[in-house]
Amino acid sequence: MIEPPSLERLIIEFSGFPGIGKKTARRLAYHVLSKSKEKAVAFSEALLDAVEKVRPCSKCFSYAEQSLCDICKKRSGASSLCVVEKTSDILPFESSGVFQGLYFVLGGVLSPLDGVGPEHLHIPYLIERVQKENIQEVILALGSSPEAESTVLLIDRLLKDMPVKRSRLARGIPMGSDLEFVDEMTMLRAFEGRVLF
Amino acid sequence: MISSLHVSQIRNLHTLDFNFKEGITVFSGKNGSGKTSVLEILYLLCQGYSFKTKSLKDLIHWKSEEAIARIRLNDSTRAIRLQSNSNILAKKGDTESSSASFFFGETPAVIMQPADISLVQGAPEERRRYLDEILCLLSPLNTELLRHYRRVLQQRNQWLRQYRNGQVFGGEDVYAVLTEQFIDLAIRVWRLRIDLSNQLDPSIQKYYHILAEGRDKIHCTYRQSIFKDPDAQNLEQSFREKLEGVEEIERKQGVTILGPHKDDLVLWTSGHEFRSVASQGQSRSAAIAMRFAALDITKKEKAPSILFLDDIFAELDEHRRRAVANLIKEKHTQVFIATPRLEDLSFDPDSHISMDSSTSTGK
Repeated sequence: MIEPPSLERLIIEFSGFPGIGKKTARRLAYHVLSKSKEKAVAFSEALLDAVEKVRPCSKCFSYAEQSLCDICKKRSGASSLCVVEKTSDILPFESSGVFQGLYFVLGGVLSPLDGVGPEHLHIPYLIERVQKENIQEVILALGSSPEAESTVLLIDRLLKDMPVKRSRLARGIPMGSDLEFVDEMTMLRAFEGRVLF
Repeated sequence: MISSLHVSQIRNLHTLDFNFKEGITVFSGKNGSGKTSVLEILYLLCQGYSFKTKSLKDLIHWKSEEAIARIRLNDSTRAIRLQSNSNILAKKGDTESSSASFFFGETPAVIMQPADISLVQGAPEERRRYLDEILCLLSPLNTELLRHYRRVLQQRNQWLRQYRNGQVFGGEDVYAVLTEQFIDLAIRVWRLRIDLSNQLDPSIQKYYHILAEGRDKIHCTYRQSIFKDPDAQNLEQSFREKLEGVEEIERKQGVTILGPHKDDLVLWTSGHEFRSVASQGQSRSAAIAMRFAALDITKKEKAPSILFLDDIFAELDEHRRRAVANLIKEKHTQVFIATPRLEDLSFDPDSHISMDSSTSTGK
């Protein structure tokens, strides 16, 4: 190979990222080398810094630098709890400003085939939170896979006897999209979930 | 309607271009001349999968790294590029996908081939697949439902397997949730399959009657592995009770033993199961009747289906050949037929393409 071993190693590391193939990894590695050394050092420091400082929030399992994340700190009195699969699922809620409550990040969905059980998803801790805190509503904001459905059913079952409202997100046509371009599956879902005036 | 085909390095075909007219097109040629390969690639571009192989890599010419096929379908173009490293590029007009299943759904295709005899004589799995394939063509919601059913069944089986091995994975709540989900999906799969079987029955009867010259009759019923006489009203309740009844056995065996994955579409003739009394000829007629019934149902709900017949005439007697010929003419749909000898057909097709000499050079 014409690339020296250290460059090759960098390419291999980059290609380990999601959505990055060998070609893109090579482009990124070459980019790093084409810029000044300071930039590369800053990048590697940022990487190390994040890995060292960021840890799961002790209440919601989202990312935090202290024991609590900003949202858990600022909204400690909120009474609705939105359950999501992964931390990045919080972003659309926050950027839209639609929800002013608390979150809970499961970190996956229930799947015996993949060895993921309730304890891996912090579900016992979720139940404990609902019991102890003044939570009035739990919003289950999970995907539409069979595993996400199992997870919703399991949480729903465990919360059934508690005095808490349980809800889930609607599915349907994206805002601003032309009906003409909506795919069949989305249309069927939206039609099934149509609401009366 | 498919108006043209371009292939490059598909199976034993190098580079070929075809133009098609409406009606019936026949490809004739010796064994190995590539007529089935043409049908296979046309079918793939309609249905999103091959009727011969699960691995689309098999379609690439053995000396080549890449194969390409393109059709003109109604007013748009569909194309597929297969590469030996398993990469796939599927294109419908300007939209692209990396999976051939992207083609599935809009243009239903029905294939009849000699292997169809296993539809009648083979294991129940073959007939369940026959029903499920039609359901998937009818609506993407059905496809999703069947996919979810299979997945939940796998998850439940995994839980039971682990239980058998002494682990209670995630606790009994997980078992309860998977069982609830399984029951819900099973009931929905049953409703679809039973309804479809009822719709298919008169068509299968009709086509068999034509093919058998009225000598004998068949009809079909959907057999649920768990009920002799399904009570549609209380399906959920009775299934729940049946499942509870076998819970201990399931936990011991580590597998789900009841559900739609154990059912059958049973063909009957004068009180007997057709499968155990039918001759080869009768079985072939029944398989053809089942395919024509599928063609009718998918046509009713979607764009006209395209029909593919791969080498089925040689095995039929004179009467059946004529009957099949009349039936396909009546359908007024586009039909592609592969046959070694044009004389085996008892009719003149709308167009005829000889495949001899096409494999090595191209035409």
